[in-house]
Amino acid sequence: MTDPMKGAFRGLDISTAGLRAEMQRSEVVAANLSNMHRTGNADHEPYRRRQVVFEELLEDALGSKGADAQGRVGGGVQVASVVEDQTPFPVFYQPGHPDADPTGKVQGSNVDLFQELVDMNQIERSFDANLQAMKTYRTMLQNTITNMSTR
Amino acid sequence: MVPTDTWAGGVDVPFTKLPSQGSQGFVPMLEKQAGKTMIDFDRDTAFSQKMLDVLAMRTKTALHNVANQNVPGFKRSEVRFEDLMREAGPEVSPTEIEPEVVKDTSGEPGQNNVALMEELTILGKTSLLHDVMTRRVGSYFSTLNKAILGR
Repeated sequence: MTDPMKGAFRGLDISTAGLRAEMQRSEVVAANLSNMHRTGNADHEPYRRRQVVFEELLEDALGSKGADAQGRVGGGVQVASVVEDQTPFPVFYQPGHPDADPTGKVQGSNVDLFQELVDMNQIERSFDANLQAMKTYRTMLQNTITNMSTR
Repeated sequence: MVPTDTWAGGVDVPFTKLPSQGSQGFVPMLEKQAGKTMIDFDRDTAFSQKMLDVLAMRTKTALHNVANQNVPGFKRSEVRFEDLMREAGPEVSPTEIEPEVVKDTSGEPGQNNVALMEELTILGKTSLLHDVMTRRVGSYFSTLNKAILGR
């Protein structure tokens, strides 16, 4: 352990990383929802649904003898990349639509409203869990100060 | 025969070590002072200190698990200490045992095995035990303060 204070507050950083990653995920869901009606045709693509990919964030060095084979406990989570959903676009028949081709077919976005709503629910739950864990850690730090004071 | 500790005044006072404290003293610096340690508070403090280190590590591991609950293929890790202590037996002092971070590889390979409720339970338990340990250290210091100030 190099800097003791850095070590003591590291727990908060781990939870913050979790909160930040979930927040970024919710932003992608919001972008999907707001673009779900952007249509297209053979010339230009409709909106393609985006998804975030999370990856584990490892701590550089914890310096503890008891840590795992790589010698670290962990540093939270981060968004590795935002990928595009490759499922095919639904096609519907609507002649007169500005994006309709000569046969009257329009390509719609591959965003599924219900899937996004389910994702949003899951994000909210994960966010709450991270926040709750952070509160517990904060209470522990607070207790250290309160219980260890001699007066 | 019951081992005796010598008080500063030179009177022999029987002093029985707890089985968990082993045959070796926890604080070498105090041991060297020709058995003049009056009340061996510091052995208890050394244990509390070790336990606080373990608990801090365990909290961070739980925070890391919560932050990574949505990472595909992530495996949760946990901190082993109490069972290592039990395996080592009463002869080994707990301060000589190093906590171990182990990966829990249960579940299908490539599948995330974080159970949110379990992690929050670990956090809750750890927080309570942390409270106990900080209170132990706090009461040691306030007793010491009383001895110094005489009130």
